[in-house]
Amino acid sequence: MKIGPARPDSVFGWVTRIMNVLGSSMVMVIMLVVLTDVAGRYLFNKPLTGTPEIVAMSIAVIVYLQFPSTLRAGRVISADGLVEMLGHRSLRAEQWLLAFHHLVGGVMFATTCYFVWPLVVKAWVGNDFYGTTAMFAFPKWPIYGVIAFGSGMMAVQYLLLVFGFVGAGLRRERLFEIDPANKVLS
Amino acid sequence: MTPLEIGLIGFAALTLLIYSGMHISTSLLVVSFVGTALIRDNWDLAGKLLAQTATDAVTEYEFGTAPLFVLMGFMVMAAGVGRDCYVMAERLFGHMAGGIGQATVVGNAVFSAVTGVSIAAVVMFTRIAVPEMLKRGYPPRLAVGVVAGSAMLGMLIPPSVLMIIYAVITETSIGDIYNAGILPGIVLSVAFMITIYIIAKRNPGMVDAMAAQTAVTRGVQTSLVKLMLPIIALIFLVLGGMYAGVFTATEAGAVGAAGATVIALIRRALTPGVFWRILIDTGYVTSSIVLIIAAAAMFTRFLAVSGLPSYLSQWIAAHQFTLVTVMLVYIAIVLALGTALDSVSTVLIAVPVFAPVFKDLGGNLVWVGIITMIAVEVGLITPPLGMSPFIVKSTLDSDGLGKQISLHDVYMGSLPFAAAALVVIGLLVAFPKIALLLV
Repeated sequence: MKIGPARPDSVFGWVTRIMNVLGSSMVMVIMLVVLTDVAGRYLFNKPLTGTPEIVAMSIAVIVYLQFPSTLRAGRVISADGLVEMLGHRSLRAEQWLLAFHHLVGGVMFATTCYFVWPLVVKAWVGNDFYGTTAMFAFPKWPIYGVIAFGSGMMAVQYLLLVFGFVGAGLRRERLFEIDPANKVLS
Repeated sequence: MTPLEIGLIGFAALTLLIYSGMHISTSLLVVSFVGTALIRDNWDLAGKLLAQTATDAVTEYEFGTAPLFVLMGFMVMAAGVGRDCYVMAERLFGHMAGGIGQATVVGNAVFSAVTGVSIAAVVMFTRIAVPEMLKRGYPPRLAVGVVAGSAMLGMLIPPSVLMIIYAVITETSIGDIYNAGILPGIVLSVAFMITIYIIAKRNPGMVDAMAAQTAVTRGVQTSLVKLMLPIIALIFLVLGGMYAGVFTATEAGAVGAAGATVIALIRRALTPGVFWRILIDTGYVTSSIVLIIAAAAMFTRFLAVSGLPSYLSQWIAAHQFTLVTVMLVYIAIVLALGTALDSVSTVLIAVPVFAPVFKDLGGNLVWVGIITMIAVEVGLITPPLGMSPFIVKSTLDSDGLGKQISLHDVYMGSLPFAAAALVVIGLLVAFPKIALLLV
C-alpha cells in the first residue's frame, strides 16, 4: 500500500511509528492488568487495586498514540459509499473531497489540542489524581499530556494528508487504495 | 436561530457529513462543537466541552471492552477457530436440506459468539462455502445470499462491538445488552435455517449428503469433541461468565482475549509477526471506535442542549402515539438510514435522537437496542450500499469467481434473509420477552 506524504523514514513518520508501538503494547497491558485483578480476586481473594483506573487511562493512551497511524493507514471509520461513487465519475473530485474532510479533521484536532493544553497545566498545578488517594492514585497530567500531544500529532497528520490528497487529485490518482474489508467494523 | 432550529440543522448536517464520507468522529465533533457554540453563543464554552470530550469522555473503564473483544476476535481468527466453527457446524447440520447453507449459518452464529468483529468472517465463509455450494448445484444467488445474510448474526450475537457503542450512548449496561442478544441471536439463526430449508426443498437439484463433505471438512481429521472443546470453553468463559455475573463485560473481554491467545499459542499459530500485526490492528480499531464513542457522547449532549429530543417527546406525547407506533417509525428510519450508511453511522444518527423518546415512553432501552441491532443489520445487506454483499463480491472477484456472480445477484440472494430478519424484528416488537428473558 502507498503511504501518505509523511514517509515512514521522516522524523514525523518515526515518531508516529513509536507512538504506534507504545499504543499497541497498551492493549496487552489492559489484558494483563484485568486478568491479574480477576485471578487475584477469585483465587487469592486479593483484587488488584486501581484496575478500573489503569484500564481507563490505558484506553486514553491507546486512542491518542495510535490514532495518527490509524489515520495514515486509512483505517479511520467512515461511510465511504458516496466518495466511491464520486470516484467513478471523477478521481480528482474524490481526492479533493477527501482533502476537505481531512482539513476539517485537522482543524478539529488542532482545536482540541488548544483547549486540552490548559487542562494539562491545571492538572499539573492542581496536582490532580485518578482514583482515591487512600487506595490508588496516579497523576492526571501525564495522561492529559499524552492527549494534548496526541491530538496535536493527529492535527499534523491530518494536514499532511490534506496536501497529499490535493496533490493526488492534481495528478488524477489515488493517494491510497483501501481494502473494503479493512474499513468495516462489524 | 432558536436552539431547537440549531439542533435540527445540526442533525441534518451530521447526516450529510457522514454520508459525504467524512470520518465519523470528525463529523460528530465538528457538528457538536459548532452547534454548542452557536446555541450558547460562546466558543470558549464549546471548546471546554470539546476538551472534556477528548479527555474524560475517553477515560472510561467500560471502553476496555472494545480492545479486548477485538483482540479476542483477531486471536480466534489467527488460531483457525473460524474454520473449526464451520467444520463443527457441517458435521452437525450438514445432513439437513441445504446442508452447506445450514452449516454456514450455524458456523457464523457460533463464530459470532467468540468474536466482536465479524467482517473477517464474511471473507472466510465466502471462501469456504460458496465454491462448494456452486459445485453442488445450489442456485448461485442462494450460495452468496447465505454468506452475506448470515453475516447479520455477527452484530446481534454477543460479544459485539456495535452493542458497545449502543450501550455507551444510551447509558445502558454493556453486560445487559450482551445477555439480551443471546436468545434473539438463536431465534434469528433458526429463522435463517428455516429460510434455507424452504429454498432447498424447492430446488431438488441441490446435492447434500454427509458422504459429500466439503473439502475443508474432509481436511480436518480431528474428532468432533476435540474440535468443539476450545470453542465451547471460550463461549462458556465469556458469555457464561458474564451471564452468571462472575465477570463484568471488561473482565469477560480480558478472559476471552487471554483464552483465545492461549489457543493460538497451543496451535503454534502465533509467530511474533502475526502477534504484532494483531496488536496493531487491535489498536487501529480501538482508537477509531473509542474516539467515535466519545464524540458521540458530545453530540448527544449537544442534542440535549438544543432540546430536540425533549421536543420530539412532547410532540409524541401530545399526539398520544403508543410505544409500538413510535417503534415502527423508528425501525423504518433505521432501515432507511441503513440502506445508505454503514452500521456505526446509522446507530450514531438514529439512537441519540430516539433513545430519550423511548425512555419517556417507558420503553426498555435494552429491548430497543436489540431491535436496533437487527434493523441495522438488515440495512447492511440491502442495496445500494450493503457492506456485506460488497465484501462477498470482492472476495469472489479476488478468487476468480466474480464473473459468474454479479453484485446484483448477491443482493437478490440476500433478500430472503432480510425478510427473515424482518419477521424476527416483528416477533421482538410483539414479544419483548425474547430479548429481556435473559437480562
